[in-house]
Order: sequence, then C-alpha cells, then structure tokens
Amino acid sequence: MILVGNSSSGAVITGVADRAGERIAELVYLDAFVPVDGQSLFDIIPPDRRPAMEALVAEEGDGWLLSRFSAMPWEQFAPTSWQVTDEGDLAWALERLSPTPFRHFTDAIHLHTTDADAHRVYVRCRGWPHPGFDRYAERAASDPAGELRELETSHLPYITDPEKLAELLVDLAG
Amino acid sequence: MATYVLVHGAWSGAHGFRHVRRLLQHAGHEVFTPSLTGIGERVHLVSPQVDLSTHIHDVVNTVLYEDFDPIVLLGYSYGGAVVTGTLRHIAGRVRELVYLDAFVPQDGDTVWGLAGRGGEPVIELGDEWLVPPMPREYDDPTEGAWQQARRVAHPVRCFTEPVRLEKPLEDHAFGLTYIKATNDPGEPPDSAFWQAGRHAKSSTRWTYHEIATNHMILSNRPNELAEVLLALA
Repeated sequence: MILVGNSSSGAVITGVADRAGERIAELVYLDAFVPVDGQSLFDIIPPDRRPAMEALVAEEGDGWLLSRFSAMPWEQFAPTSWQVTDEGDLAWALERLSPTPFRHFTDAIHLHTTDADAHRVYVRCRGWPHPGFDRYAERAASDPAGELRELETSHLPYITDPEKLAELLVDLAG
Repeated sequence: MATYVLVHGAWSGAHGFRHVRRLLQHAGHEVFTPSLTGIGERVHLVSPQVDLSTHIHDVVNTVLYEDFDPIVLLGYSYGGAVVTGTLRHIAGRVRELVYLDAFVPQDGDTVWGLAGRGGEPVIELGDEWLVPPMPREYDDPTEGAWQQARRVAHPVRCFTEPVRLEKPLEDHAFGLTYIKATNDPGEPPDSAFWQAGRHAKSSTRWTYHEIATNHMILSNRPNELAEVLLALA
C-alpha cells in the first residue's frame, strides 16, 4: 500500500512504517515532519512556534489540550498561512477543526526497526515556508533510496489543490 | 454515483464488507464502512463505556463530517440497531434504508430483548461486560479463517441499551428494504430476523429480498448482495 502523512502525521506514518513496513510500497511525507527515534513533534517544530503553543495549552487547554496551532484564530490562520481562501472550503474546514491533545505533539516516537523497506518520498509544498521541511526536502533529493517531489501549493493541497495532489499520488502508484 | 454507508454487525468490523465494498466501488459508487469503536479495527479502544450510543455516534459523525447527502444506509445484523438509532440525527440524509439479516428495533427495544434474552439486565455481582463472539459457519474455509482471525468480543451495553426512534420507520420518507438470509440451519423460525423479514415481506412499504445462504452473507454471497444494493443506486 501507499501510506501518506501530512504535516504532524509524518510522525504517525513513521511509527506505522516501523511496525508494518513490509506492507508499505511507498511512504509519502506530504509536507510532513520526519522524526527520528526518540524525537517528539515538539522537539522538531521551529523553536519560535513553541512558546505560543505552550501558552495556549496552559491558558485554554487545561494543561493537556491544544486548541489551535497559533494564537491567531483559525478564521484568520486558515485563509492566510494555509491559503484556504475558497469560501466554501474555508467554511467546511472551520466546522471540522478541533482541539488536539497536546501529547500528539509531546510524545516521543520510539522506533524498533533499523531497515527502511519502504521507498520514501518527500513532497515539499512550496507555498508553506518552513526551514525544517526544506532540510527534509534537501535530504530526500540527495538520498539514493529516497525521492523528492515538489508541489506549488499550500500546506494542505488536499483542500486547496486536490487535482494536483491526486496527479502526483497516481503517478507515484506507477 | 451513489454513496453507500454500510454498518457492520457484532464481533466484526468494517473489514467484513471487503468483498461487497469492492463490487460497489468497481461499479463507480462511493462506499464508506464506518468503524465502530471498540470492535474490529478499533478493538484497541474497547471499554465498558462503549455502548450503542457510541456506535450511533460513530456512524452519525462519519455522515456529518463527510457531509454525505443522500445516502443508501445499510445495517447488518447488530448494525440494524445502530442505523435505526442514527435516524433521529440524520434521517433527512437517508434515501434508502436497508436491513441485511438485521435487527429492526422499535422505540425502546434492545438487541438482547429482540433476541429473546430479556429486557435491560439488573446489575449483579461479577457482571461481565464483554460478550464473546458467537461461532459462525462460512462456505469457504479460507475466507472463514480470515474472518475468524478478526472476530473480537463485543461490549455488552451495545446489546442492552434501548434504541431511540422518534417515529416509526414506515413514516419516514426513505425507501425501506429487508434482505433475509434464508438458509441458516441454526436459526429458529421465530428469530428476530425472521420476524422482521416476514413483516417486510407482507408490507407494501418495504421491499423484501431473499438470499439462500446462512447469516454470513457478506462472505458467502457478496455478488448477490451487491446486485440488490446496486439496484438501489
């Protein structure tokens, strides 16, 4: 199968590949984090974004729940940073965004296998500035066992540019 | 193109629909098989707090989050109680309601009540909250082994919680279909499924079909079942 993870789900698919890698033909990091053993998402989120998240958890989340990604409300964040500008898409997304347990970000991943069976693909969405993702992209480009693809889209192409994303995924299926 | 939402039975999971799902998808339709919390692929979330309302919530949320409208909604076996319970939340989105060898509860019925195991149980010392799977027979041994490996215990409150139905099924706008498995040697002639089937057969409001196999229709006769479902598209 082809396993795709976007953004923080890069941690999820890394863990799944660690447990069930023999079933995965393509492991696709779609503008995603690629944690190594022992890292949490919080460890690899850009340092300047961390204090705002911690403040939200403390002030609005009873110490355990992260209500949103930044101090900016979703109504502003989604159409600007995430470029969800279509009115219909924005309304749809805003109805469905929900607080996430902070442990999703602070739990460290523990990996047991050292062999990477699956073919790893990094898809960098150039519409989302992110130095960490740029480094993952560079690494994928120079890794003989990996592959770099690029999309001129927002961080959430399945919302803003589904046809472009579908074209890429169909191409990866070969 | 139609949207099918298929709700599975006790001790099983979304994977039970694997044959039928592919047939419907090959015919060009959208198929969702919501996973019920605590069983099947969600077995790792099982707890005594998982009840019929949890499963109703699982299905309703799938329909709302995906914003499906209209749907062909199917409940298989225990799933009949689940889909009945969804109606007070999403009846307006249902174009066709299908009961596949399923419980068809009225307001206030429980699955165990319909199955002849009495009303809501009285609390006793040493109550068990997990109900082990009933043994089942499959035509094909390989299919049987595959399904058997995935059968898990089912939280008891799913069977003892009353269903809430605000108006009789026949008073809704959607089409009603009952599909009866007619060749299950272990099934008594007055079972809840036969009672529901006979009611449907004699009603002008219902469409009634028969499939000559035992209760494991999804495994034994997926093509026949898909044919009935595709006619509802």
